[in-house]
Amino acid sequence: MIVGKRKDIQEIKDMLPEDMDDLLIVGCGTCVTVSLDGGEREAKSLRDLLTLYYRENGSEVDINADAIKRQCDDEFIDEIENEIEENDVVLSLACGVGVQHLAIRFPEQVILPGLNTTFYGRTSATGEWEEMCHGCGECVLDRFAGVCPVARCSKSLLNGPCGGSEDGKCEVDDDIDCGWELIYERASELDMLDRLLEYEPPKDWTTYRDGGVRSHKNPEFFGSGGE
Amino acid sequence: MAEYISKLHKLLEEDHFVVCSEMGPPIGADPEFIRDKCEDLKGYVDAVNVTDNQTAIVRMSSISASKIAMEEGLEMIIQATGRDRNRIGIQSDLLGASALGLRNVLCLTGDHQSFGKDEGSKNVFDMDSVSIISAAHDMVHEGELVSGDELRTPPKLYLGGAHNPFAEPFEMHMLKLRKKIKSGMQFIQTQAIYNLEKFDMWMEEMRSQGLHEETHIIAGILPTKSEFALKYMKNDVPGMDVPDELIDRVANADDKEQEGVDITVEIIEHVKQHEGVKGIHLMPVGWEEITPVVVEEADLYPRPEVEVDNE
Amino acid sequence: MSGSQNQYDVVYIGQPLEDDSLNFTSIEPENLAGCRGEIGDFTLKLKAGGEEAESKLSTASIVINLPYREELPLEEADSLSGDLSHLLEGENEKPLIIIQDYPDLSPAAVSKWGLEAALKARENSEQRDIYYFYKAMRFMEENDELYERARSQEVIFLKHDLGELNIDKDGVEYKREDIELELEGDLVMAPRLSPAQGTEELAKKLNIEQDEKGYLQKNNVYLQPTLSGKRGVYVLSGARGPNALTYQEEEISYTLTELKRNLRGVEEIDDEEREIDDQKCIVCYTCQRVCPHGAVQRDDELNSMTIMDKACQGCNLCISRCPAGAITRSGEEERELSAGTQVIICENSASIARDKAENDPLQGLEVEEVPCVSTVKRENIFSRLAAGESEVLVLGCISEACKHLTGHDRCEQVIEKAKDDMQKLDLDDSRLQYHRLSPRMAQDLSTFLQEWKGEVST
Repeated sequence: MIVGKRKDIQEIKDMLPEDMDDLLIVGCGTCVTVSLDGGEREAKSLRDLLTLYYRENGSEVDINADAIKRQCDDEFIDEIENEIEENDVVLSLACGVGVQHLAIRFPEQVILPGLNTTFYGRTSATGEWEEMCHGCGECVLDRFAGVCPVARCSKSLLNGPCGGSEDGKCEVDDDIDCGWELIYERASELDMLDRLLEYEPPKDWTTYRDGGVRSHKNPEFFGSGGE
Repeated sequence: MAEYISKLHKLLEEDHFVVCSEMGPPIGADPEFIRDKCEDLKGYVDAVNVTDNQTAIVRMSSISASKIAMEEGLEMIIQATGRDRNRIGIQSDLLGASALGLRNVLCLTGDHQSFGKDEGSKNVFDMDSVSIISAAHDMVHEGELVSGDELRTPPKLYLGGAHNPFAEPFEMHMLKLRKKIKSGMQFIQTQAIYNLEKFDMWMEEMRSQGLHEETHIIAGILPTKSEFALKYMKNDVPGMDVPDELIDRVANADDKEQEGVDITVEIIEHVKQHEGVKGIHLMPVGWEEITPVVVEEADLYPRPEVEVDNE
Repeated sequence: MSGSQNQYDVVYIGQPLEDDSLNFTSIEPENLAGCRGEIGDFTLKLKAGGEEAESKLSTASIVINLPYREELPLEEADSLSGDLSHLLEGENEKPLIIIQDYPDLSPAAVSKWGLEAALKARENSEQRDIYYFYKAMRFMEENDELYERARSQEVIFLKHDLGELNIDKDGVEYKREDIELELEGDLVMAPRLSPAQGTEELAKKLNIEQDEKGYLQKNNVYLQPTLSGKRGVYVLSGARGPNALTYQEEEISYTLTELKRNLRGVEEIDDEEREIDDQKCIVCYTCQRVCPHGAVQRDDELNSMTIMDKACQGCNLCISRCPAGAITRSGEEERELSAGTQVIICENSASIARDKAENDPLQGLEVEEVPCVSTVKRENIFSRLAAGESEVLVLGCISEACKHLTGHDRCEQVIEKAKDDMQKLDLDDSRLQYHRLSPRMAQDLSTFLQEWKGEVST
């Protein structure tokens, strides 16, 4: 799922306009709740912390917190439409998608991001997430024994490890597993090493943002007559 | 007879034991810097590498520095890495290099930008060492670009790559090496050799797979006079294997310089005996002036004179 | 309700205990596919040979009784845990070399085995040299008596950490300032013990906390002797840890008593109602993962988690950690937040310490008693601090005495995060403090509060 990390509190505080009267903090109840940083609890916690901060600094700001199931679909946003319009500033704890969807829905409102969207990841342990996918638009996992060279190699190499792979770790950081060693081990296990010997030409990046900002339609659902 | 692309190509194909060396361009725009470095090398080495923003530090580009050095009479090996340029940039560079008369290229993946000062930069890696070799090969031998388009005039380039015989897991790195050879890598420069036993094992493997006949192996040698440098390499540089005995020898020596030279010559003599080792690549980091001394003491002076028509 | 609603009174994972009054069966750990339910009403799903069989077992209680994995530091030696009669009996002139605590300290019971072996050997041979290498002689039961006897019978005891001990299949070398020994003979060593095969998977399937070594019982006073964190699941011998070697008889009898008691009906721990709002719950599994008592599972009809009332031990950790704020409890009041010093105390330590103290050290302070400091929510800390010139002091329990196993650590994570945010906003974070107490520290509580009051002056 999409993983995010709440921004540093000073950064959030610095973002908020000085003459702000009311602030609405909106949490999102899906991905960022699962990555434990943008759900209702975090929204309420931020509300109370900022209230404390403004009080200590002699300002009167009215801060409210709410959460909706998702910020990337209109119907959920409908639920809090009034609330949003009643506030000066909206701080969204959703991923970049949710923040922008709100911005599209409320073109005259200041919508600020309270979260840094980081990566597509899996939960590797309670409170820990690892990057798995880049959304490159052309999945090659069948060719690499189920380990993605684009997302899990720090250089996105397609033809094998670089010379910096040491003790199974990446030259960039000791904590990072060498993606290619993961590919190699898994391919050995599955008897797929011959596949790795085949030459991989440079990737076609047109399916990624490199080919232009993306969108797609599913014709089975999109635009039936009468819509 | 066979048409040779470069002097290096001819020397290797005609079984001369080659001596290569390396120079790092300046963090600046002064061509004199390069010309000064050429002094030590003329007559003592057959071909010289020029690194390409090594360890992701901004330096004068490999191609321009190589051109300056070539004008001083040296045979040059440019480096092309995947970190800073995409396929368009790399192919363009290779065409330009050939046009300038540069004939040898070492194709590398490239150190990650976090090694240098520009950690925040976007890395490219549109191509890796294998695809650079493959693309260069197609340009030279098929007159074709990655896009499939034809070249008006194909470049003339002799292709090399790097390999670390000490990297683990062994098999995994061998896989990559085989792909490079298959893609058209004509010579290899290895990582600096100190652990002779491990090097022997690697050469065994290369010979057992017949790979020593598919590509020319040039053994990497790093002369050093400092036990601290050896320790640093042992502990902090990924993939380097430095036996403690060597560190002790230098540490306990009265004349460290001579000890360093002696060790270097011993290693050269050892690797020279291997069937399949076609030369050495001297990388005297921070001790460039020792190159002539080593070449003489290893009995590799004078260097052969060869001519190649490479217009 | 009696156990008659279940197929079994108890299912043993591993070796069953001898007691015919209980209706039991036993399975191997690898046969367990999953476990649902709570004390008095567990459902175990089984698989045979890797395939998921249809079979399910229902039981009131579960007992894990697995042997240790033993590994000898030297393969060729004999193990102190085995039958040593071939070495000890009969006329045997070869030196006997017994080694324990190598390389790490052996459990206490090992000393007993070693001493008994030494004495047996001496009984059968007056002549043979008997050497005993150790780091620490553990005196439990009659070990000290055995030790004295052994010494008087000329068993040579040597503390091997005072010198250099080298052991290989050819013999033992021991060098010290004053001694140099080279010994060859019958070598008997204390085995290294580790958790049985499959313990990790078992912990996951049963949702039980492991200790640092991987055993199924944390080092915690509330779990003695054979409790896991989960009601109705008991841990014996090799599954429990090396301490289990010491009081095996007592533990078995305790466990059997518990099993029988469970058949007479099980009460909920507290009166509070805890609910998970299935509209907010996103099934992130956080509550199940953090619950120290295995009391949360996924509902099989709704797409939501659910709390099992009898398994729940009331610590409220799930509530404070749910990222969706989906869990509520009936006892949560809307407090009128007052200014001034506010203290949150755990009923298992600071509360008891307070009662034991001479004059109520918390007099005049706004005090809230909680079943565990894991109840504390980050937003409540801020709202308390915002209510005027206030400080918040949270008093939790020390590690071995946290009734909810991880609650004290979990609370500390929340406090650290709150303090970190406060620091970054230039708010005085010394107004928020966390301190751990033991229930016996009545005196310390008073002293601590004095000092703390002195530090944070309004």
